[in-house]
Amino acid sequence: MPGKIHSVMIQLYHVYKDYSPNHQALTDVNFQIEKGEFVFIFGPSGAGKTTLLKLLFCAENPTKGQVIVNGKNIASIKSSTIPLLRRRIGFVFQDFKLLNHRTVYDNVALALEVVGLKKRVIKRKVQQVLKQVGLLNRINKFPPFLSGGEQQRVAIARAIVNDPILLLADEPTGNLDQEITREIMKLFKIINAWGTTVIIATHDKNLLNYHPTKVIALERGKVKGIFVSDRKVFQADFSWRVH
Amino acid sequence: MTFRQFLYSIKKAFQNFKHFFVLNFITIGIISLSLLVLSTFLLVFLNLQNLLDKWENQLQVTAYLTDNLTSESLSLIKKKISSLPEVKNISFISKEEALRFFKDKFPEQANALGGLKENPLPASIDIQLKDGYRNPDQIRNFANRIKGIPGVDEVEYGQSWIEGYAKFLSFLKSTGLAVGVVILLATVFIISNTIKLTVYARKDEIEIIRLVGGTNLFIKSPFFIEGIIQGFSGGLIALIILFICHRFFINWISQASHPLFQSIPISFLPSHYLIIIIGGGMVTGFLGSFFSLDRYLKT
Repeated sequence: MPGKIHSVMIQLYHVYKDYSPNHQALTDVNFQIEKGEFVFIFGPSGAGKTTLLKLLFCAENPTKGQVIVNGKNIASIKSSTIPLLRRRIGFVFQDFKLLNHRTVYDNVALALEVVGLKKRVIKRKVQQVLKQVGLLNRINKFPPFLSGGEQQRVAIARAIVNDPILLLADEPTGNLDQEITREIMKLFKIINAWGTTVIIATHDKNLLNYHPTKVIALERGKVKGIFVSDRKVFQADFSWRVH
Repeated sequence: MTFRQFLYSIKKAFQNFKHFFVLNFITIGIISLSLLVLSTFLLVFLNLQNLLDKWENQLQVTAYLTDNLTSESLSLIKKKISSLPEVKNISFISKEEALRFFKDKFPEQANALGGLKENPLPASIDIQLKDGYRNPDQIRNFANRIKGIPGVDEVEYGQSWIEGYAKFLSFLKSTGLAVGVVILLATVFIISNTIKLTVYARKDEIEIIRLVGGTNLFIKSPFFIEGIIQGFSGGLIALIILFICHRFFINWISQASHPLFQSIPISFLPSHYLIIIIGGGMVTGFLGSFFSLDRYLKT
């Protein structure tokens, strides 16, 4: 379903990614994501979810095909402009990727310091975003003294402090229990409601049940189907995931 | 990179220095030791060369004259010698002066000479050579020419000593150069690899800054500044240790009983060498960071 160019956030045309002749991470992947959408990339381990996110984040180049993010073709982007693109994309990881020797404030401020903002602007924005994720009272703590859920919220705060147009999350709740997972997913939904396109890669079908939304299902590097999450559809097409 | 980001890099470099104190402490320690070995070698080499230069300056050729020379032939000999291009100045020592020197220097043997009717010591001319005419080949050549002057009986210039000195000097220069180059390369290798370890220990930090959109220069700058601080501190500590050791050594030899030791001037490294060692430490620290970081900044 082709969308209008100005409303499209991501377009993939016949994308292949080979790490070696015997290791094809992605094979002929095609899809489109509109601006402001909330999308799950769903599939088992080794399906190519992380590779797909890496392509969107310019951490990898496709072997073949076109990856267009916000109108920019990743394959032809200059390496010097990659940091500029990344400042408009937030990334959240399963293992949080926080600097343990820096405080919560410093970890979040890092995303603004790379842009070169003034100190007082950074302070204001960091406080604001920490309030949004409910961590203002933890501002001077170091990550190892926070719970897993809190650490993930710091990572989310860092990912959204720059007001990104796109938020990518790779198994963001993989290390968290159900209750914290619900909180984190709620946070993603709020971020999406502000207008940010959110893409979450997960192997956990339970995550899809939090709210009906678009799901791109991957299996062995190929798009198996694109659906609106609905338990019945999944039972029909993804018996390998559903008991 | 904006000026604000540059200031941020300096601030971060010092913060990181504090955060990774143990790592930095070890790095600076290793840099200090490496530079200490290099600067000790330089100190020994330079003092040895100074000593040899001093000895070289004291080299002189003595022409012993035949007895019964007329004053005309003596002044002719003096004139001939003085006119040679190698000669800086000459001093004539008469038979009587030679005897007096001998008695002053060896009073115990003076009695043996007193028994003789005639003074057996010959008159001589001590010849100081100009700078640039003091290598063994030139001295040998010069001595042979002096020997050919009528009225000159024997020429003495410490032949065997000079040959030994020449061999030692060429050995010192070639070995010193080789050892110096090896130590220098080892120092650069050790420093850059030590810094590589500090960079490796912080590869996660590099990755995270890249993920949030930090440019390569933004990531590298604090590391460069840290590398320069490490090199500077390492160089300074090495020189302070060397200076203290040098003072101790001077005290020790000034108390030594052997006059040979007391006559050796042992100077510290000249100021431009101090600048080169500290500057070299800083440059190596910078380059160590520069090359270590590249592998983490590929994508």
